[in-house]
Amino acid sequence: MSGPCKANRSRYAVAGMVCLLLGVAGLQSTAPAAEPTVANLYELPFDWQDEHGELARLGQWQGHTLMLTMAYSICREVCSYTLHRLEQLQQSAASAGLAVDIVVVSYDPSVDGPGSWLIYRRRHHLLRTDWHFLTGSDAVTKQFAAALDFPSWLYDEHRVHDFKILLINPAGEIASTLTWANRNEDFFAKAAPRCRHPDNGSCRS
Amino acid sequence: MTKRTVALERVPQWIVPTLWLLGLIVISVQARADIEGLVIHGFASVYYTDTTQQNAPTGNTGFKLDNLDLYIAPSLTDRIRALMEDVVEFDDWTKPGSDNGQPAVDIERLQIGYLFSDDLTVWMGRFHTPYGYWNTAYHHGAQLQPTVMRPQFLGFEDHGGILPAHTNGIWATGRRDIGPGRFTYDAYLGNGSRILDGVIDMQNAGNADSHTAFGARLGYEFLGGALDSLWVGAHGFSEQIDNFISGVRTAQTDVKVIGAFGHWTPGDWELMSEYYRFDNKAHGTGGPSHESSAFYVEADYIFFGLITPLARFEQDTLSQDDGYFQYLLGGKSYKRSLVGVRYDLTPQTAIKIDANHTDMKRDGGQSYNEAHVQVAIRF
Repeated sequence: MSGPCKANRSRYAVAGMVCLLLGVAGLQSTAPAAEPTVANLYELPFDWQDEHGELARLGQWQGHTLMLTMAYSICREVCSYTLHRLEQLQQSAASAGLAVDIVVVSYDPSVDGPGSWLIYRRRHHLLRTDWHFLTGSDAVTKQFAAALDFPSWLYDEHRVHDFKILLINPAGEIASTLTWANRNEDFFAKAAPRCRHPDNGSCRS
Repeated sequence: MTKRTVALERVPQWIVPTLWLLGLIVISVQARADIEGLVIHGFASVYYTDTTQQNAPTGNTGFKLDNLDLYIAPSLTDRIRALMEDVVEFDDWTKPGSDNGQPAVDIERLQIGYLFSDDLTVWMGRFHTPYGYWNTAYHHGAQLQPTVMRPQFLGFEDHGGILPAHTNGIWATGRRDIGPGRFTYDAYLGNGSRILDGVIDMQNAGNADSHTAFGARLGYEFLGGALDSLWVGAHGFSEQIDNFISGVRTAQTDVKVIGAFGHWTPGDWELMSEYYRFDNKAHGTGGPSHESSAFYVEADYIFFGLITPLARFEQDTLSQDDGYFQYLLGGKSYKRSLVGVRYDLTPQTAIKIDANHTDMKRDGGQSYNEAHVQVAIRF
């Protein structure tokens, strides 16, 4: 390759990089994290199918404390970590005397369904009956993800997303949110001291 | 020459791509503000290499810039799809002794497609050639792939790869649920590739040699049962590839490749393998076939969704009598044993460390050790 060509390539590259970095900075500044605006999750009108093929709605957990996240069955890194944290948090809740249900909603109905979630549960030893894996239609999934601010994007077959767990109180309100920044926080740490006496009824949700 | 032409010639050449990128960014920022529309995502990676390899294409110890990958996939309609991946990268695969590390902007993928149904999507443009698993599962964003590097023989064309990783043409792809799983298929045809000074060129600007590349991949993905998530299949392609040195044609080869692949994620394990068998022949001579082969096997296990140790063995055995491999920069036989670990510092940031022993003595090369530390992000 001749010298001038190399010089041109360098200019293309440098100019391109500057623009890209400016662009990324611009995107960051124009895209503040959206806050979920749903007042009561248990009133959301979305229909789901659980891992047993049964129709499900979030309203069926009205009166329960819930931890909710989104994942998909062929996801490895982020989803594995999220489910691992959910297990830890559920144990923490149990230590505090709280019964907490776990709901995992599929990001990608094109790969998930009752069959794949059942196998996923078995392979990852997530066999407790208070774990529930829901799959919806493509439209419902998109609306749900937008309403609760679970953003994702598709890089070919990879559904790229971040870590997020919502704690839903028995009234259906979002009581707390875990993201990567506060991933080690324990939703139930404050509840623990009240629950040192196993007969303390206040520990039950 | 008109005044207008003279005026245009005075405009620096870098203005055009700069304005183009700037335009995209402005559009994307406005679109992001409206939530819907065009959003730019991307990847970037840097790494450190320590190697005992001497005077070789990637033989320098030191810090290296990998790439900056801009990914755009606008939603046009429910049926029309578009995908663009533009990469600023640093060419570190060059002939020994020559200048390396020159930055370049490559449009790695530019494809526009029409979704007829889940059974059929047709793409036109420049796409990743559908063979094996890796080439269509992992693209240019290093943050998603488990290792620092692709298997050497599956490297991109300008990074020592021995297969046309990209094709400029038309690609039909789809899947259909059959029995306890899903049948998958890909079929494509496009401009035939050629080798320009040791590097495969997929002819973005038209088919100068009038050779057509065509190929297919058929697979079956098990859904449910003991083999859930196992995807197995076969692939093959054929094309005439001519070699040029400084613009002079020095070889014409009919390249035929068949092979098989498998990928499986049972629980926290990931297992994958690909095999390629070449049956190449000098074009129009009726001469003997030159058989070559390449394969890799890789296994990894993820702990807590954060730590992924892995191991890979890869090998190619390439005929040096073959006019195709003779001239490729990466066309020498090798064996490589690699171990490594990936740590996900955040969902957007991966740190990868690996070490390999590579033996290239079969074709008169070196035996050497190499280690990489890579930081890769997505945004």
